[in-house]
Amino acid sequence: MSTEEILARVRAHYPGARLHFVLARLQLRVGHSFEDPSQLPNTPEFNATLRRAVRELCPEVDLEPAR
Amino acid sequence: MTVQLSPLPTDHHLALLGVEPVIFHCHHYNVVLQQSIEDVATQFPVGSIEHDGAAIVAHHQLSHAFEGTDRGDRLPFAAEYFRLRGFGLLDLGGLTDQGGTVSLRNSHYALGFKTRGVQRDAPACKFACGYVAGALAAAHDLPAGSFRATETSCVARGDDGCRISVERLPTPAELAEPVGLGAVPEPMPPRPAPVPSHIDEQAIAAGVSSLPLAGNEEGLLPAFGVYLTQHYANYYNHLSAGTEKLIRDKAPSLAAAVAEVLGAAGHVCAFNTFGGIMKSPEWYGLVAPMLRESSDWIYGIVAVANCFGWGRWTVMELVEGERLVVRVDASYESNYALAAHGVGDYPTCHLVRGGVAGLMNLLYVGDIKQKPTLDQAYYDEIFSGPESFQAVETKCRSKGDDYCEFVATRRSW
Repeated sequence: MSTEEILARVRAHYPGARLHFVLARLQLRVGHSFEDPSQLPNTPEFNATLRRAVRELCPEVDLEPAR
Repeated sequence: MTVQLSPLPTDHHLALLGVEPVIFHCHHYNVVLQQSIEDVATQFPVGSIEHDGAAIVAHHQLSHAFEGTDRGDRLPFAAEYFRLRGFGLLDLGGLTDQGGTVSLRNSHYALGFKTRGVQRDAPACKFACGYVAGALAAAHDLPAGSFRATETSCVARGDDGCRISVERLPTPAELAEPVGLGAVPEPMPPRPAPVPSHIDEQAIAAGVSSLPLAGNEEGLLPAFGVYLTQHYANYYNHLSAGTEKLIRDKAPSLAAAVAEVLGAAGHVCAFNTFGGIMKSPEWYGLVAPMLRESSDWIYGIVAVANCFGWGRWTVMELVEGERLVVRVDASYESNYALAAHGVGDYPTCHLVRGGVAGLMNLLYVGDIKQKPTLDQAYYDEIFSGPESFQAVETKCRSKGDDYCEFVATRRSW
C-alpha cells in the first residue's frame, strides 16, 4: 500500500479535530510534515515507518489491501 | 523542617512550594503530554528530557528546603513530599551517596497509563526517576545532574512492581538552570473588569482553597473523577517549551504539529478535569447555587481555574454558544518561556489554549449540565464534532505582548 493510500485511509477514518490530532501525532512519529505529500520520502523505509506509526496510534484503521 | 508556601501576592494566582511553582493537573493531561513527548522522541533527539526536567525542579526545590537540615531527615522528607503531591509511595531507604535501588508503589504515571487503557512496552515512570535523581543529589549537597535513575520494572508494562535503579555518574551531567517562578509580571497589572456574572469569585476561591487536595495514605490524590497531582509547573514547561523549541529548530515544518498535540493535551485536561469538577458534589455545593444562566458555568469554572496556580484568568467576552475571549495574566507557561528562552515569535501557552476551547465544548457542544459520562466516546463526540470549538492564542507574553489572550470560536471542518 502506498504512502498516499495509507494517509487516505487515516483521513477517511477520523472526523474533524480528532483527525487533526491523529495527523499531528503521525507527523511527529515519522518526522515529516504531511502538508505537501509530494515532499514525503518515496522510500520503502518511510512507508514502513508510517505503517508502523499508524498501527500503533490508529489500530482501528484497516491497512489491509483492498480486495 | 517543612516546605513553606512563599508569600506571593495572591493576585498572581500562582502557588509556590519552596522556590518552585506548583499546579494541579490530572492523570489524563500527564499521560497525554508524556505520550506527545515520546512521539517526538521517535525521530528527534529529545534525550532524557523527562528525567532531566524532573531532576532540575526537584533538586532546585529540595536543595533550598534542605539548607540547614540533618541529612538523615532529607530523603524521608522527599518521599513524603512525593506522596503528598499524589505521585505515589517511594521507598528511598536503599539509597546512598553512590545510588542504589528504589521501589515505587501506586505510581501516578503507571496508574494513569493503565487507567487510560494504554499498554506500554517501555516503563512509564520517567518523572519519578528524575525526581529521585534530583532529590538524592539535593540530599547529599551535590549538583543536580549527579545521578542517573532508570526504571527497571514498571506496572504500566505489566511488571509486578515499579523499581528504579540509581547510579552516581562519574561526572555530573550538565542540566539547564532552573528558572523558579520565572518571568512573572511585576507589578501584576490591575485586573481588567470582567464581564458581569452571578459568580462570587472570592467565595469560590475560599471554598476551593479549603478542599483537602493532598495525596492520601496510598500516595494518590483522587478527586473529581480523576487522579490529580500537584505537580511542578516547570516540569511541564521544560517538556512542552523544550520540545517545541527543538522541533522549531530542527524541523520547522512540524511546528504546527507539535503545537497541535500540546494543545490537545490541554483539551483532554479540560474535558476530564473541568468536566469532572462541574459534575462533582463540591461544584454542586459551592458553585451551583450561584448559577443563573448557562454563561455562569463558564465564569464559575474560570473562578475555579484561578485557584489551580495557572495564572489569573479573566473572561473578557462571552457570546453564548459562539465565542469566548479569555485574558490570562502571569500564565505559568509564559512565565517559564520568557525566563528560559526570552521573547520569541510564537505563542507558548498550549495548555490554556486547549483548556479554553474545552470549556466551550463542554458547555455548548456537549451539555455538562446533564452530568454526562466523561468517556472516550463522549470526548470524541464533543471535541471532534462538525461544530466543535477551537481556540487561538491571539496574544502571548512569550512573543512580547503584555498578557496572553485566547479566543475560542466554532471551527467548521
